[in-house]
Amino acid sequence: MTTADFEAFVSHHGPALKRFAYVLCGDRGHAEDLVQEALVKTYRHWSRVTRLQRPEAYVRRIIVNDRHSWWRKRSNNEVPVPGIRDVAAPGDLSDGLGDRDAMWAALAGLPTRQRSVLVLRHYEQLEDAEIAELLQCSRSTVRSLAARGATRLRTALSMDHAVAEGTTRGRDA
Amino acid sequence: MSSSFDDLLEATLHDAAASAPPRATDVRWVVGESRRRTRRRRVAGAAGVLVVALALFLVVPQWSGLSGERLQPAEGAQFVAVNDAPFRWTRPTVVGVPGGFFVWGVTGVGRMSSDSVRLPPPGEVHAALLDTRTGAWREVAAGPLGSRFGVSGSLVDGEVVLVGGATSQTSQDRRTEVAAFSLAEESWRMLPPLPEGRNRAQSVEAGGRLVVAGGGTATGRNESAVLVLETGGWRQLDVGHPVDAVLSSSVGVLLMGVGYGDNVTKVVETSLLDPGSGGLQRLARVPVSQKLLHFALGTARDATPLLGLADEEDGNLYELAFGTGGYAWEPVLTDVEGLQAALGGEDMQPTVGGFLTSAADGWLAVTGDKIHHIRVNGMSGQVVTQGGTKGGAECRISVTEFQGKALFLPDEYCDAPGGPKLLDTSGG
Repeated sequence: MTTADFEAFVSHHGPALKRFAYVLCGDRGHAEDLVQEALVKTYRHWSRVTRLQRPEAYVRRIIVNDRHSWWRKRSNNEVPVPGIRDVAAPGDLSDGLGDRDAMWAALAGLPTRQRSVLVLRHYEQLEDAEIAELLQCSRSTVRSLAARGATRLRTALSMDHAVAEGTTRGRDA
Repeated sequence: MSSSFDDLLEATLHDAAASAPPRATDVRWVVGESRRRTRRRRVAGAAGVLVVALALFLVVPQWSGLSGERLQPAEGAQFVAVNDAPFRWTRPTVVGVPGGFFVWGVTGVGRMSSDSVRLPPPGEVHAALLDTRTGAWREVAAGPLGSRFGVSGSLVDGEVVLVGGATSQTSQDRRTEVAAFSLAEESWRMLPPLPEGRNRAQSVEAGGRLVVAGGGTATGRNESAVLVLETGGWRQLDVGHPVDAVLSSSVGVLLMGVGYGDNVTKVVETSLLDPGSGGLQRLARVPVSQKLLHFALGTARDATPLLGLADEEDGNLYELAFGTGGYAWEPVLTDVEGLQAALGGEDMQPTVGGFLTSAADGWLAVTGDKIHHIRVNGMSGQVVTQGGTKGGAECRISVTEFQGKALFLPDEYCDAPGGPKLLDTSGG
């Protein structure tokens, strides 16, 4: 265990962790805070973390847990406002960009746990069992949160039934 | 619009992630801050740790060791002292008996696995009685059953009757044996065997008769047969629809069978059945929006039957209404938000490990990590908790209510410390 190892870890995984934190919370500043805090906690146990098969998964779990804690600590009258991204995404996004903006705004309105499950499923591509372990809940909880989150998104987007039909997919490992 | 919702969601997330070029992390600050925090912790010193430990010991509720500090008993109910169980059973059968609870099941199974290469060892069967007045346990003879799992239990005329089951959690060896444990004599006797081996059935006493329904048989699950034990053997009744899940005998001598809701029909069928005459009355269907996970059935103090449903999207409560058109299930609470609001639990997951059991003055709803009352009587079951996992198996706490007391019994797969909890809902 050396500081150099930790620096190499942060250098390699830091950007991905920040992107993950960003899609999780939707706010760049909070994302950086979340990652920074998670790394501080990780370094404290670095000797043990390095023995893990996937140390980045450990950091990711801290980020998710801290995100939920942070959410609970917010004052009740502080309402997240869906923001418009100010940096253009790479590639030709003229097709469907409006949909994605609407989806991003709708994601901002989801309860924290529902958003976390959807992000872990659709961004991190985790299986339900992995999500359940990460969130320390049962797989049925994950399925329930995902279903309810998707329903709220669909409602927000006013998607037609044909599109909505494609949303439920079995991920029960 | 995108071609599918999933594609749109994934594209949105990746698009957003790509649009947020991260700034470099100041690793030196992170390391320094981590070391500063470590130093501060050490300064706190051993004395501080002892003070905190003592405070935690004094203020943390007894229940917290079982499955999370957020568990709270319902209003008017309170946990009462009960000794640790002499065994840590795996998926036990729990039956309420006068003055206590009877627990039967296998211990020492270890890892549960569906992997045929690593079948769990057979384990040993143990039985014990809990006296709820003293909180003490007493081991009793485990009896002659060859089953280890999926055994149904009920109280019939002073005897605990255990029915069917299987020799392992993955076994196709479903058993036909039926055995009765006399609470007065503390001895076992065999009753006529089932016509066919039946695993994870439901059994209930109705009108002085033992009735068995549901469960799995060698010929397939969700059979429509309901079995009534009579002198000389079992009589088979056909309710005409699949039978799975819960039974209640609390409506006079009538048995209420609740059918099976699947992904195709998305309904729950219900019937009233008189086990004495074999008379059957079909009731209204209950719509279910998703695959059904949990449901429960009971009767309020005013004898109104109530049906609780928990599926993947809804946590619903229905009341059986008697109208000119016959019976109909009328929704009492029909959505997650409504149920959450009614029960006041923002963190509650009514559909997750959702479980409804009875209490003397109400319906005991164990929903995720909270306990609440609604008003119904007469149910029991299990709840999957966040009490941890062991060897990949989910911790399950069986919840059984009898005469106003609910026993929460963690099984062998619960890592969390703490033994059984007894919730007194009688208010006295």
